[in-house]
Amino acid sequence: MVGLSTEEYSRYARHLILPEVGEAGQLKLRESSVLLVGLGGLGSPIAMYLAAAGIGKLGLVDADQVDLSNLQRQIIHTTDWQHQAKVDSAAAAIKSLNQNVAIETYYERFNALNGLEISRDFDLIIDGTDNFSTRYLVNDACVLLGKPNCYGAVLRFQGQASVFNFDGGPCYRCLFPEPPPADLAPSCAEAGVLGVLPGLIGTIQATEAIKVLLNAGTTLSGRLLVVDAMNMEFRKLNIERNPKCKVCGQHRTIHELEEIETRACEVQPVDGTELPEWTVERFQQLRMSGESHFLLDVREAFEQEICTLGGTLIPLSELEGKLDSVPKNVPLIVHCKSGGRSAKAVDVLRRNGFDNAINLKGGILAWATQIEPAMSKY
Amino acid sequence: MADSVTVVLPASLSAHAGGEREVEVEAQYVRAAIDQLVTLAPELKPHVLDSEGALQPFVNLFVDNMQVHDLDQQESPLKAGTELLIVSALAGG
Ligand SMILES: [Zn+2]
Repeated sequence: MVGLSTEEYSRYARHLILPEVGEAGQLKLRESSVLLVGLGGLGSPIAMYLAAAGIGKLGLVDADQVDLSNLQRQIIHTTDWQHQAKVDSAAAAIKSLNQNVAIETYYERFNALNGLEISRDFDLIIDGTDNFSTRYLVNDACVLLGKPNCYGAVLRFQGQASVFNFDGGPCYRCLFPEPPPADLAPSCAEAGVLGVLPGLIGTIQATEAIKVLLNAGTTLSGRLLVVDAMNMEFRKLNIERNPKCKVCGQHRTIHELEEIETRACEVQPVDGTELPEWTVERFQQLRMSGESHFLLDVREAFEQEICTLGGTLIPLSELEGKLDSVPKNVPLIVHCKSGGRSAKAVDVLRRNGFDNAINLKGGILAWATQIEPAMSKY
Repeated sequence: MADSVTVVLPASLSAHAGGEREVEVEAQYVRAAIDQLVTLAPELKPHVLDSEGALQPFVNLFVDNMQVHDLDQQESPLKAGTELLIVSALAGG
């Protein structure tokens, strides 16, 4: 193996004087490869710290482009990189931080078809994704290929971190056998996230990744770190392998990657039929026809300040107490940001005799994307 | 004689319990504590228990930082002052 160069001796000087890293450890990091799935709030600090630490090869997977609303927390991207692939933006930032790092970019979604192939050549995988289906795919790929999974997740002021499938510890599926149905689990886009929180959790994931690669210290394997940033509480909970785990248990039933079935909303329509919903195009036709209708916006007031279709605002949580102000005699179109809360609202309305209630599919985001591109998005 | 146990909710669930992060219940066993919790805050129920009353597969319970594997475990009664922590799956990143 080629020793460290003069440039590397200077660059990694603060690592080299740590007995736990030293020259041997630094060389180990340079020989290592890490696949980072997701270059959002978690992935941003992870990519930067791993690049700074001198990891030999970083794989970057993300199908998204940089959006202005990402920059409150996704610190690897900058305003200039809007509308460009996150993997390219991140690769440029990494290159300017540390030329020594080899980068492989995957401008695609990590899915059941490509997941194993992408993961195969990396020593360790980091889960920086923002949705349940990719989290299960990353976990299963790690278990099937025998690779450690440095896990982190955030929402609002809460975070979690662990190292799964390592050192005899449990995997993500051992802990959470199934994801929640969509209506019980809001995303960061719907529920918000404190910008610095993924920074906090992401740096913990990067720390764990380096420890795993160096075989140093005690990792979070077998522990779930739960963080509440609002009260600055950190709890380290003991977690164990689940003998009935579908992917790592004795009688496992998962032998290849498969997309998890996102369970449909548990909102049950009153009469067994589908909740009625309209596309934004259909709603636009109604508007242009001039036919009388009532547009109900069930978001929160601060959301309406960002963008509005001019509907009457009654937040979902207040709807049941304000049914008197909603008419029954004209088409009642209900919308929110992306269609989740408004589906619940239509269900509430229909249970209360509003047979005229219709959900606007995709919410105001679908409207902004398909009908009115100049509208502010969030 | 039932003992007082503190159920600690994640912030994401406190909205379904009138904004409370901690709920005091009088219970000797985990099942009784959870049953009281969802009686006090019925909106929490679908977030913790499925329609058959089993723990949801996206939720974990911890007593004194140890994972509870069986909601109906009777062998280790909850001690007074115990914290019963609920942890739900998060997806954000
Ligand atoms: Zn498992």
